[in-house]
Amino acid sequence: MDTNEAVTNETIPESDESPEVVESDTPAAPGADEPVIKIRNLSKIYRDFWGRPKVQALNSLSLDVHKGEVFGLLGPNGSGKTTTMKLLLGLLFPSGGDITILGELPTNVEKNERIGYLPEESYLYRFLNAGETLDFYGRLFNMSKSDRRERVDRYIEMVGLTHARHRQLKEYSKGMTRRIGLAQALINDPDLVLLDEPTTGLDPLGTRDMKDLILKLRDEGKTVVMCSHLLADVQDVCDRIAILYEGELKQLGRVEDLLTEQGRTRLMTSKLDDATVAEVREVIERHGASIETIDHPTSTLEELFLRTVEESRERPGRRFVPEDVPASDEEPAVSESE
Amino acid sequence: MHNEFPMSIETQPFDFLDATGQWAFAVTAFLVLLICGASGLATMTHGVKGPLLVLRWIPRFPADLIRLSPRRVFAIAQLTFREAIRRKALVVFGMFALLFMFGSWFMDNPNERMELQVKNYISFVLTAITWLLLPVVLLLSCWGLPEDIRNRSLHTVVTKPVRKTEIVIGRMLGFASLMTILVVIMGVSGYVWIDREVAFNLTVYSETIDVDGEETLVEYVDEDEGVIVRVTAGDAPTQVTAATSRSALRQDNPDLYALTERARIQALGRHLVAKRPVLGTISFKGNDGKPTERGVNTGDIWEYRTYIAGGTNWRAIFDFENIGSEIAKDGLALESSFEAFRTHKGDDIRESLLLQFSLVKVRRSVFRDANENVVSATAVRKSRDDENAFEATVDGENVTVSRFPVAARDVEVRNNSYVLIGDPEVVVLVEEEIRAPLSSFNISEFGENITVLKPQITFYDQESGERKQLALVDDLVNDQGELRVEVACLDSGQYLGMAQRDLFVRLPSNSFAVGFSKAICGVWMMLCLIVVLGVTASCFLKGPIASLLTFVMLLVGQGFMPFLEKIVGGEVEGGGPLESIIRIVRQINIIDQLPENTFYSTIKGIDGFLNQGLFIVKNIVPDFRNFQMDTYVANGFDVPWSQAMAPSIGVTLAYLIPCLIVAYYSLSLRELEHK
Repeated sequence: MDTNEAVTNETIPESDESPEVVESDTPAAPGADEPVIKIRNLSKIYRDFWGRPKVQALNSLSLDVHKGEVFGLLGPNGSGKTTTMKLLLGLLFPSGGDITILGELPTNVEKNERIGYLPEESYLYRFLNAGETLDFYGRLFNMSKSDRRERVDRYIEMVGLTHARHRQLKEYSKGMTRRIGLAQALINDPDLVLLDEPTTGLDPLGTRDMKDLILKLRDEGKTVVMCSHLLADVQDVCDRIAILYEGELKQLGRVEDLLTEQGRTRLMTSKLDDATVAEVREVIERHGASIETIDHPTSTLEELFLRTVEESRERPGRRFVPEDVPASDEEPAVSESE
Repeated sequence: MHNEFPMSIETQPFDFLDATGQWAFAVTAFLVLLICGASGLATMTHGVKGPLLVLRWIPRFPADLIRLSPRRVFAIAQLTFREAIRRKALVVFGMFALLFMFGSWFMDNPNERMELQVKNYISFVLTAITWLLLPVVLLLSCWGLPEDIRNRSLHTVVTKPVRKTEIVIGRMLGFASLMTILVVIMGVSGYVWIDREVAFNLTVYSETIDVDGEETLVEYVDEDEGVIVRVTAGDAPTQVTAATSRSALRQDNPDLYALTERARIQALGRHLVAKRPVLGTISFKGNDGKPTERGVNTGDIWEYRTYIAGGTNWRAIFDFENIGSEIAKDGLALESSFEAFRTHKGDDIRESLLLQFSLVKVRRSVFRDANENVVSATAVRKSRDDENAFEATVDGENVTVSRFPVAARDVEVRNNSYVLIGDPEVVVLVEEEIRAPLSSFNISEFGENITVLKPQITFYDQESGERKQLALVDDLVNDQGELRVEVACLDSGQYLGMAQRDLFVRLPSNSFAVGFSKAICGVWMMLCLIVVLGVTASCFLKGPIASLLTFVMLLVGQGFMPFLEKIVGGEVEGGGPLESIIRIVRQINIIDQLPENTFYSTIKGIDGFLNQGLFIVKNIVPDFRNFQMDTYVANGFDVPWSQAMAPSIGVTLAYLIPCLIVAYYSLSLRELEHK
């Protein structure tokens, strides 16, 4: 797609200063009526002590997030993703423009009853243990003692921290801290979940769990907004994405629409011999097209890793032995070619 | 606490209603200033919409406060408490324990009088508690929120349905709970330590105890050479028993040991006590018999006490109020501690001065005409027609006037007359109705002088030459419940110095534990106020600056308040800040008048403006002197409700609401993202 060709979303009024935004014309996720998040011409300028402008972090951002979708905010470092997230939560005040989140202003405290937030780094109280942490956040939602106890147990088990429940968070690894951070974000069973760099610090298994969880949340009808610069993660789970660059919205739309190359076609078949390939090439050329590459498809590194770990769990003690090293008789081994 | 006497026995009862009115006025003025300032600022940033925005924000604080959730507040309070504990705030206990373990090494002084030793122990404990906890509470309360903002842990709190007031109150409550526990534990340890130290050092005592209905004097001396006990029972000859040590006495003579133990416990109770005084007002009568504001100046640069000359007509007059039958029906105890100034050695320097008290029933009154206009007593005369009525000449006309009693506290002496404090132009008529001179006695200059007034006073009447008997309450206390005590020094050429607090009516004492608990309460309230101020400052300042601000408030409120009051009241010679600088630079004496020209007028004008700023500072900074109750307890007095406890409670509560308002808007109007 030619990036100079602007397709403007009709529901979003453009400000005079807004640059052209490239957006897919495919409608949003099905069932999405009233936007859960509505941002119009949002700007944020960071100022110094004397009030002089220092950095323009966001410039006239307009977008909607609809109920039940997983929305991704993408962009390189300093593009304004986290600033947008913090503006949504009322941690920062906009320099211009409007935001409504769940139909309320970001500074309205009541809306937080329905929101779960996982910050970029898990900014939790490091002197508390996992149980105390979740109990504390549960109390902030005015939950009863029995309700809190039940949820604390459930979420600690869900994020796989039962074994470390009584250890203070300062003793946790980064991945464990992310997990407990996720548990605190979900303790109130929120309608809208804001995840800032959710997979940062997680190992591939944790990343997979996190992505599965995001999809599960979507299946439960919850809205998820995540920002990340790990493109593969976003591609795996997001229904729609917005790409920000230097505080400006550059792309907005459904992932598959944005990624689909309309001018090219890909065929995938079972393995063909050389004669058949030549025959296919001849047919294609007869129709005025040409074959650009013919190769064997590869799996992703993530898929390989997960498969390996899964197999290792099923067959404990099995290890990789390079072909030039003789395997010992006692231990099961997998050869290099296997 | 059970109190068998009404609180109104104190000379100036604390008027909560009046204090509340003053508080409401001050807070309203503060809020109006705040709104004006905010509107000005908002106009600069948002144009004409600015003041409207400010008005829209005003109802948010009460709305936030109404919807406060106790569960969330306690959750934050508990978090604050846990945080402080897990960050080793309790290390302060270690320091406290160290002080107590080794403090007695430096404090025990057997040569010092016991009451001075007791004073040292009490002052040491209360000072140690205050100064060990002050830095802890100051740093914790000033750094808590800024650290939360810096670590961004506050992000996970404010993105929950938590109100700003809940965060502030929760923080305050958490620190206050921690302080409460620390203060209670330290207070109890301190009390036990004082009790043990006093008991250990009480090696010399002389007590009269009741043994089988007979008054028995037990004198006990425990020195390096051994123990000597003297027992005098009634008219029986004195028995002297010696032992090599206290334990030897216990082994050899258990009955005598038990007797000394009873006397020792009684002596301990006398040293560790919380006296309840009723203070009066003081004035003097000169050698010419006329009232005078102050006594003789003996050249002492410290003018706290003034003196009456011995063997002359000089008298010190103490007027006590509220001496009702409920406190005086079984008699009264007068305690005095006067200071002698000798102009000659006399027969023996150790011989104390001779003193005499006279109880006087007085009628103190002003007169009013039919229009309620006050008429000075100098213009009043008895009516010729009716001996019970009075007349006065007002504007050349004779009018009938009525007599109205005046309380002693409303009267002062000026220009050799009794005048009303509220209107010094009005002369108060003071008439002596009955005078009962008591027996003279030698004062003990460095100890308690207690004069017991029995319900029936017997005295020698010089006029009639007969012994007379009067009822203390019915005959000597006037209709307003007032009793006058006149003090005369009978030694010619010697002087006796006194101040208002040197003679008081002593009510039955409270236990030392009660007085000590009140002083600990004072420390606790001061720490709570520091928490309130510190948490408030931390809502708009970073940790170090908030600590500095709170510390400066403490410093000004504790140490510089009298000086600040003098500056604001224009009592400091040498002018304001600029004038002082100019006087220093030009080396102009503070009593010299400055030249009158435009330059100096401008300087004085600027100083006047700066003075207004200091006036605001004086009224914003809390007066921490209210919390200093250690002086009462260390000197063996109970902490009075009206003079100490009530003002402390008032000051602590008075700052709570304005601080909450400032903290709420500071947190709400700032971005909580740390940059």
